[in-house]
Amino acid sequence: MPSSDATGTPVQVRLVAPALPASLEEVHALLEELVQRSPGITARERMRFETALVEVASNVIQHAQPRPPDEHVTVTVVLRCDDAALTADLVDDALPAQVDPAAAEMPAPDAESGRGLALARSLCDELRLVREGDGNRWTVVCRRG
Amino acid sequence: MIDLEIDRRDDGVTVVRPAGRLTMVAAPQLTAVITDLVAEGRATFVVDLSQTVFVDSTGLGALIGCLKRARQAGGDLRLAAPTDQVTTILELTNLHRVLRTHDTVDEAGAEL
Repeated sequence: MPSSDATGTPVQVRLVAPALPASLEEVHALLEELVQRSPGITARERMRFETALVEVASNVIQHAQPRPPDEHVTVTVVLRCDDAALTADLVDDALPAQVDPAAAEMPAPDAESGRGLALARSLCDELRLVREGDGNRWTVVCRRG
Repeated sequence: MIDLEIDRRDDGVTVVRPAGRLTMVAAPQLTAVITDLVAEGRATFVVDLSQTVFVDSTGLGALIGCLKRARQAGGDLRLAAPTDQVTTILELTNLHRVLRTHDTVDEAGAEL
């Protein structure tokens, strides 16, 4: 059974950042921190989770609209590793998201965009989007073992 | 910003080697570089992914866009040395038949 950190305790890391393209590097760094603190994560688990996470973060960066009078969207990213799963929660303070991740379909091969959520869904076990208070909460779960 | 090495080979193949992550910030840079190279008159490309540690759907979109530009110019574009992450996402997005991959730059070049 894969362990979390050396003692089997769940590991959790958190980032608060503006929903701007430059923040994607911080999301990768946060994931790296989670991996460094959770030696049981396999390369394949990391690959699936990191790709799904980045697709969702990119969707927030590209599409989340600030609630007036805010000029920017802020997103809080929490990553968690325990024996059961790798989980990401991305909570923004934006207007209601205009997308249904459950309905995302892979476009035709010559399409130059529109693959992100369908790809994320194919990589993880759960991909949820709910409206929560004055923001949106995305949850990505990659089950382990 | 992504580091993009360009090798204009004598056999007409241009090798482009991104280093780092090919995601929403870097994808437009790759497209711009290939567009400029096509304007130079170069139309056959190998994108060497040996230094590309991560590609997301935006990166894939840019590669598709670059493939289209190469084909419109009468050429082609192949990928070389993809990591497991890239190979996996190419298969999951059904792009593995459109963006053809090879183990090495030389093998990719031989097909062009």
